Amino acid sequence: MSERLTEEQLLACIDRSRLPHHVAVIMDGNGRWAQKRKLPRIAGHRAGMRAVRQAVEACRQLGIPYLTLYAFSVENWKRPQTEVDLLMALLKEYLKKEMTELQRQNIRLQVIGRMQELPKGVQRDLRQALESTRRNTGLQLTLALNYGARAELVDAFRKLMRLSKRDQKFKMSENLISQNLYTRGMPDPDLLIRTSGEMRLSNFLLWQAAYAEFWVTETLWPDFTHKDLYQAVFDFQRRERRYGGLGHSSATGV
Amino acid sequence: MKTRVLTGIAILIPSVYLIGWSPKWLFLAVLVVLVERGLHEYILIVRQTGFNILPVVMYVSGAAVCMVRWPDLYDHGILLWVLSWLLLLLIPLWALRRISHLEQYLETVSTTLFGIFYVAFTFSCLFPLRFSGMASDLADGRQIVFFLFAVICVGDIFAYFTGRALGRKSMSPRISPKKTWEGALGGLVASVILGWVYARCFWRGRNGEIILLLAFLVAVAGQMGDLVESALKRGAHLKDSGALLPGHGGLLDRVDSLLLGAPVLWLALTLRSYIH
Repeated sequence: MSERLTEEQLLACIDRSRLPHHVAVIMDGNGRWAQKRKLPRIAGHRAGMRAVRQAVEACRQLGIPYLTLYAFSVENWKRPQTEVDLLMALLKEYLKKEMTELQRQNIRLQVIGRMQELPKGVQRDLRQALESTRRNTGLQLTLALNYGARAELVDAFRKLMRLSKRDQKFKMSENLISQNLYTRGMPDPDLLIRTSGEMRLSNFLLWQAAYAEFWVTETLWPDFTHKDLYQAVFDFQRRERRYGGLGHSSATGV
Repeated sequence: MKTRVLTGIAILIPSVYLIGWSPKWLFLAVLVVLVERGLHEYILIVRQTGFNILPVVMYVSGAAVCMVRWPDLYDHGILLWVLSWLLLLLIPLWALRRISHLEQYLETVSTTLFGIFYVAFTFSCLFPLRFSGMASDLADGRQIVFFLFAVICVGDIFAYFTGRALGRKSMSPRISPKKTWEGALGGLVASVILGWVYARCFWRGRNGEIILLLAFLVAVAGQMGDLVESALKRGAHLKDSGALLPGHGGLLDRVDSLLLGAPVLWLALTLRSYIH
């Protein structure tokens, strides 16, 4: 495992020339966090918003160009109605409260998922937020909302089938499939972070994360801080290094 | 349902003792504990609605509001009146120092002030109702408070059962989809009948009309209190105000009718003594 460094040490040790281009996060553990504190589950989701700010801020600090957060999956509709309502309300609140900050930090908002199935009010707020940050040139923050990797593939294949019917010279390829996923135009994630210790993909970016480094932490999502993200990037860089050099002894002797 | 009844019975005996026979200091101490717990649940509701609040100010003010009720027994309520002005004037000033973003100023001041009134000012009315000897021509404090609890409990219970049996038209589908006009009416009628019977048995003198009026006011206030608390919870996307009592939800869920019922009774009796 990695050694325990402080936040400053981590920042100093991270190689800014070999940063991951795209970090994706499965934000797990809100419910458990609340249960531990004898709070209702939904309090955990609210606390999770703080962690979102931490992750965004940390990526911006390092200069990582793409950050994707798994906010709401196609399976989450099965949760109790109050929880789903709250998650939608939290989303609207986030967009409202964070907009000035996002603009100030030159962050470009993006959404992947079946947006058209979200409540109308949420869709409206999202479109507004997407439009107002469209020309920002800094970090791209992608929210996976009503997202499911298999659903994404189905949508992509549907599109490709229609294309193949129209085009005589149609030729299937990996590149073509990539171009028809929700993530068109984005690099594939190189670092996939999952909190609260679970080791599952949970139907997230199945195609795109084919070569991603998987980093799991026991920390519950609301407790996720800058330091956790720096640690993930630090460990990611050390892994790459090991791949490249057989017999190359690492500085820590692990 | 079973846990609900069992917990209800379990707290019944100690509650009756506390209300009727405990000395002033114990009554007040329990009152403060309950108010603090109520404030705690209120703060959770406020936070879950996405608003900022000043918890320390709430807890300190809540205790102050309760404790001031004791010396107030001897000065016609002057201290509480002064305290309410102090809170109204000082909290906006204190909030200026305690908030990090000015956008949060209004919500912080509003939620704090409202909470102190909604939980502490209202609930602490139980103290003067019990110990001030107001309306002593009608009944002594013990009987007044028992009357209040009886009217409210019966109202709650009968509203629930009438609602289940006869309920058709929902009162406010957005706030409380299960509460019906039929249930409310059933609860109201039962409350007034019980209130009248109780007072005829245990109160002094022949004051039928006054008793009916008081029972009616308390019963209506009780129903409104339930609605208000439900509205607060809805805004926070919460089902219960807490997990204090098994089968019953939180403290606020249980005393929500009391939160409007107690001050209404206190107000009615106070005004009555001014008129007479």
